[in-house]
Amino acid sequence: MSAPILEIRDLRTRFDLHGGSLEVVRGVDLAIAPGEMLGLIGESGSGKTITGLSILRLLPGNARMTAATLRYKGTDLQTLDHRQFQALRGRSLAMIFQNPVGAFNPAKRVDWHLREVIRRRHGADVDWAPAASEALKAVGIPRPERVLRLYPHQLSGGMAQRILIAMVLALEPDLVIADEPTTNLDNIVERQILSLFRRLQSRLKAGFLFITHDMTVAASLCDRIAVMYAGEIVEIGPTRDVFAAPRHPYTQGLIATAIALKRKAKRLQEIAGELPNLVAPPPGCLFSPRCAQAMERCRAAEPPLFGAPQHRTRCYLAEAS
Amino acid sequence: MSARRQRYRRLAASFLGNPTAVFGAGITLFVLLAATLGAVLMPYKPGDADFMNILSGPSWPHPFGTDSFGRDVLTRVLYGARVSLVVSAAGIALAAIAGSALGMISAYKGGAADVALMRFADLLFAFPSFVLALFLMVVLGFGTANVSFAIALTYFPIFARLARNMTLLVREEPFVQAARLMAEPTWRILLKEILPNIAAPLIVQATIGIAFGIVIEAGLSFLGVGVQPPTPSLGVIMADGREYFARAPWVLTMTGVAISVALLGLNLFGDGLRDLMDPRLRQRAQQ
Amino acid sequence: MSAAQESLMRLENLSVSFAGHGHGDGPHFRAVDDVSLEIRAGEVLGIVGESGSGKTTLAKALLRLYRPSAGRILYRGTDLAPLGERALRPFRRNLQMVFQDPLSSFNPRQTVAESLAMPLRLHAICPRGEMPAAVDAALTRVGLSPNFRDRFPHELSGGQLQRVAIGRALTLSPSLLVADEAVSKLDVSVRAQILNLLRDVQEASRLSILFITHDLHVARYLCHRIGVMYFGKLVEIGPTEEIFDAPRHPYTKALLGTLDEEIAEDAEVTAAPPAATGCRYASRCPHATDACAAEHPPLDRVAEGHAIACYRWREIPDA
Repeated sequence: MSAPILEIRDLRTRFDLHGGSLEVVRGVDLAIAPGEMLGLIGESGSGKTITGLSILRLLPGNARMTAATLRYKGTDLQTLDHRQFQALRGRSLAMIFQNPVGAFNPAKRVDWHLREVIRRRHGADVDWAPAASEALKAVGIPRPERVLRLYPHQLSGGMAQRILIAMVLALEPDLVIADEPTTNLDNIVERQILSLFRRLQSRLKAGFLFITHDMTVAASLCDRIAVMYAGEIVEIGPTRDVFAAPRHPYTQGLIATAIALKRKAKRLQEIAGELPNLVAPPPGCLFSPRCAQAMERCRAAEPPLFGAPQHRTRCYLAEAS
Repeated sequence: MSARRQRYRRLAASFLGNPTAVFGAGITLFVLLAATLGAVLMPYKPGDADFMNILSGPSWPHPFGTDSFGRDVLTRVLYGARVSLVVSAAGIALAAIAGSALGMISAYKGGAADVALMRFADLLFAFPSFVLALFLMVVLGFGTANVSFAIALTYFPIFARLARNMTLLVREEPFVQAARLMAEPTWRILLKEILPNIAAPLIVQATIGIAFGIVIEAGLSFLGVGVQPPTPSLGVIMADGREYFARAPWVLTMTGVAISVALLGLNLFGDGLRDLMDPRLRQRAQQ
Repeated sequence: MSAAQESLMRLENLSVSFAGHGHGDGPHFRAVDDVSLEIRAGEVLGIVGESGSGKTTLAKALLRLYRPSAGRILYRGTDLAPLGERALRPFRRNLQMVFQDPLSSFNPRQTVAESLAMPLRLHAICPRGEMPAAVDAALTRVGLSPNFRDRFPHELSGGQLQRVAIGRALTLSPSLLVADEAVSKLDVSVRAQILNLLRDVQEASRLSILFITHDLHVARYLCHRIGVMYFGKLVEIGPTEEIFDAPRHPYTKALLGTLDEEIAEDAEVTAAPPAATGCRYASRCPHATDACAAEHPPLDRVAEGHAIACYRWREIPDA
């Protein structure tokens, strides 16, 4: 088993506000092996996006991050200064955002963007034009010449996302973090972009962190899934196992709703209630106020992650296994 | 409504946390107090002439010295500041109300009226403001009230355009469409849905506008076409001071300082108000 | 579903044009292009389409937030299209909307209670003294505690706000509720809550709902009939189960994913705007012929209540 590309232990991120501090990420552990795609699933307020931003040091000014371990290919990221991290981030760590058009420099054309990436990867002297055309063809743009001359504001969402993926392909990074890359896209385009992600995964031997709220997207794409709720990972395991036998009631609820919509259920199963107030969280398990299976001990103390090393669940119900 | 009060309290706390804003507010308050109470508390009247003591330098009984009539300069500056402030504030208030109202209505209704208003505003914008004000004084005649009116007219297009642009944005918001679907009458939509949501930048503009208005008033009165002596205004006093600047520089200087202080205070206060709007929005998004 | 269902609203040849854009069509851009359909009392009609399909414009034109450039909007027999604001006033009560983004559908300066009281006051639904009670009742009806009355919109979550939005629309007891992507911006678990709420409300009051969405599966859960739009045109419309079990139009099939292999991998094909004349889908359609490119097909009857705009639907095999 080769060394993980990314190894994180006890990642915590909090925001300092007027009224106190808000801990949005509360002790996240995860590891991504080379060539593996880990899906990070959660709804708004789960902390999944902030987790991604924390890894890449893209947090706003009033955020504070700590981690017991934050290693990229064995290197402790927390020891790198700003310049060293910048060098690493532009070269080996790539991020694909939800709003693709916003990731471009609006004053520069598509060809400039590809050229920058290719030069960063292969040096300043390389002949970038053929590589740029190749990259665009690889993402389903058969006549790249026209597209290369476009400005970002002329691109549709789907086209922009394709070009971003082309840029990632050209960069050949070791870690790719994608944050809801298909959320704003139409169904048909989304399916195309997801198949591009599969292609990306097979071409690069990179580690992928795929952040999404959509269970079915994660199911079709990821090798392993981690489900986040209120800043914590509540279940993590191989995709097949988690879908076939979800152990955490929240995971069960999410899967049930996703399936119900696809299978014309009589009634949609609801997960009652709302996210807890993270400034003053409830005692015990953070999901217990909404959990139909909650027991006394759930409200008393927070459960740790139970279960086999491969498939773990933060729930007392999983303790027996 | 306790929810409202909570919100105002939060705003006040934000504002007090901004040192520049507090400083600006402090100076503005000081200027206002000086112009109102201070003037009253002075032992002299602005017209009290003392021919035994003309053009004397700053001294304990006359901290700003005396002018060519032996009048206490500090007293005149305080009364003058009051006049300048009132003239400017009146003009800006008129510009704000008329400009914002017309801007809002024209943006909401659109069409020919909107185009006409904007062309009119462009016309006014084409002139440098002081030149426009000067021209207006010649046409309308000199005097205090007309200075207010001139200030109003030079600042009117700024409010009209600002209100119009903001209204164009807010008009497309779903909550305004929801109000239309509820058959809320247009005047109510403008007053309750649109105005409260565009008021903040208008208020900032008004604060800064008053500063600007003082400068215009001072300039017009300095040239003799604004407030007419013997009514003191900062510009009138400066006109006096200029005549005998070589012998008694303090008159002109102290008046200039007074104007600068007022401007500083108002500008910083206006900036503080503007800062109050932005981080509040950002913080709200984070919730 | 009863056979004799009263027709609540009928759109006849509705078109909505905007200035600018020019697709070779002249300087105007037709967001909604010659659409005819009917909404019956007590039914939920879904309109499904991707961005640019014109579905939101259709909804807003129907509610007369826009003025249509052609066609008729018949509400219980009266044509709303030519009416001005004043003439529309008596109809406003009957036609309400829930918007996609719950936060921007509320005045940020008003509390929940004030937003809910507005329609009550404007239409004199209840006397002044009874307003607080009416507001509380409206909140309870959508599953919220009356404690929410003094909160400001930004203090509520998306799901909670959308409930208030539904509550606000219901205070006027409308005959037709237009839900424009009402659950798209909500999380999956909250989506279920809101969909169930809409269903309960609809069944209790026999309200008609025009449900606009890009998600076919969500439409399936809630809607009795579904219409599919593509670039301003209505390309297929029929009972929900027929659309799902036996979609006929190539675009509907593509949306449902039964023709996965047929979807053009070519990004430029999917991104390019369609021709201004002829079938709008022709440039992407694997079955297109020259006849298709000549003129856009009219709605052809497939079965009772099921229509399709395609010349070749009889010949195309099912997936």
